[in-house]
Amino acid sequence: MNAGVQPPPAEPPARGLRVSMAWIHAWLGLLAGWILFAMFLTGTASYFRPEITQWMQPELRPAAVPPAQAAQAAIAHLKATSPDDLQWFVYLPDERTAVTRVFARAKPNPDKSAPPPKRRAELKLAPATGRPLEARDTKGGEHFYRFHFQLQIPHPWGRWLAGVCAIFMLAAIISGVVTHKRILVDFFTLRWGKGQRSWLDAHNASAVLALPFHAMITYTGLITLVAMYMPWPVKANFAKPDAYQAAAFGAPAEGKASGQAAPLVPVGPMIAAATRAWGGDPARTVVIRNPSDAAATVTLLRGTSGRLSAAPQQITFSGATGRELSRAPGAGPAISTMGVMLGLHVGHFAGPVLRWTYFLMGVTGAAMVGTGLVLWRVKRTKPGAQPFFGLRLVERLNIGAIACLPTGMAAYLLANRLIPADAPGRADLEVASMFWVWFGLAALSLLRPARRAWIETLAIAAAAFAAIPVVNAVTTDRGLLPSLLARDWLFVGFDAAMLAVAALCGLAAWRAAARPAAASPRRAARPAEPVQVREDAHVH
Amino acid sequence: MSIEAGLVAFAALASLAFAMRRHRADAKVRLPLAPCARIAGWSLLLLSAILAIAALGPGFGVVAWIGQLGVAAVVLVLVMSWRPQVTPALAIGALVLAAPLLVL
Repeated sequence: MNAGVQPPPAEPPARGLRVSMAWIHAWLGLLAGWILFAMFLTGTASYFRPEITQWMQPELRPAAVPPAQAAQAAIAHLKATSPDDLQWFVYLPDERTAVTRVFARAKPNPDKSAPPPKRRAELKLAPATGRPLEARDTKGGEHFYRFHFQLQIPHPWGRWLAGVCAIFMLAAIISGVVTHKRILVDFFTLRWGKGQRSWLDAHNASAVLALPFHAMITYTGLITLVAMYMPWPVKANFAKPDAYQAAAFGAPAEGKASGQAAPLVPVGPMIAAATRAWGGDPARTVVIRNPSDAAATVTLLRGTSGRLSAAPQQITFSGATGRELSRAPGAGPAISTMGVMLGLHVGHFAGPVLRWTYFLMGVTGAAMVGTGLVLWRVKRTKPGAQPFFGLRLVERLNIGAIACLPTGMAAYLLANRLIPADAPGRADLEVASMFWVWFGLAALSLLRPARRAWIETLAIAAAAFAAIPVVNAVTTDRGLLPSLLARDWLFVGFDAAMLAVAALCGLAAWRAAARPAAASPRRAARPAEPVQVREDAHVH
Repeated sequence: MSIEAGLVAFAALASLAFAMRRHRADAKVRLPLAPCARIAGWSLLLLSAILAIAALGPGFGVVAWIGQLGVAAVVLVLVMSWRPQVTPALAIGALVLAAPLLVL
């Protein structure tokens, strides 16, 4: 083995490209890495957004009914409570959402100088009866979903920051592929307990094996908000955003009231007609405009489960006669492309198997970002030398992002069970507890040496997730055993998933503790390890 | 379709891995010759794609296939790094498990 001999110099352009790509990969990855890790983790959780919401309102157990019946019951409730509103929105339950949600928009005040009517709160209704349901106030899975692309930063800055991070991620994917010389040779390689080598293996494996997913999810995520990041084409062609919406997605029923009262015909036949038109897919949303008027319109929107494209589809009926008035034209190539991109990203079309596939790929993505962040630090740590400020900063931010965020997410779920159900402002308290625990734990971990901080914060994360099924069993009547007996697979699955996450965090803590305190002497003892020489291009 | 494409993909990737000299020694059992393993691997990979597309159509099929392929690869690499000697048995087990799912 020619350990002492330098490898022959490669051709200058190729080497220059690879070195500069390695530089781009390392620095873009580092700068965006902490936020990307949080985006990956919360985004992955968001594949179970409706399930998390259901879990976070354990007092709700409505019986499932056909969509037409749920729609009729909800409309009966709206007729009784707000017959003179401008618009009613009815979000029907489906196999993943157990309740009907309604939202009524009041008519604008005829006196222009008067303040606009107050926005009403959304209501949850029992699908079978249309009666309002009382449940603890919570943001549910919506919080993880919103955080995933808004980062809890005021609009529009959160979305902009998420977009910048997505661009960095895309650049890191491309530069990473260029930098990685041994994709095929190392395809199945993962060696444990070898310090930097192991981190590189883990980073490569989690990146390469799920590369199609990572590239897809990053690109489609960026494209989802492209109209916000690059508004100019729309601005140049449409006077108002509404005009663009109408041209792109079919004109919404903006009809004026006729002033003649007329009763609303039952929506059941309309829902049946729309279901036939959509090849058996039921309507998910019913929008009724001018409900008690002769010019009332009923617009049905198709759900996105069961089709790849998330582009909206709608049919509008007359509310007084039940006749079909219009249906949105078939989506053109641009809208179809956008719909499929969005659909691929959010995965609403996915059944349980594909949803879990997406989830596991998302976890792999988080692992890729996490191992990349750790690798950045491990690679630059000189054996025996005191780490300089930048390295210590990166190490602490790594602990704060990778090891402390999971505890914050667990705290959000625990807070849902521990904050009294009738406490004022409890939905915001739940959100606040995630951030207090996340950043508080990160701050506290500063008091400990870095290695101990890793072990302890990961162990705390494991304990926090393991506590969720326990707290759930103590504070609700839907613990693991009753749920098993009732064959309530959502609650059983949730508990099982929390225990699995706890086991994973525990395993990480255990591995962190088992790691040799100083991996460097071992490496120093074998300076001629050929792998290290070959990976030199990576160290920049 | 449930997970048969992923199970076949697992066996396919295991075959491809054991066609590589680096991983052959880890198996600790007699394996088919490397070229045979390679041909078997690519054939099974093709089969898993066909299964997914036949069951779900081109759109969903490709998405499901790529997803299950990724999960299978991650599981395979984790198993091979932890207990390489059980991987051949697991690959055969995955194929056996996939067979009844195909009939259903």
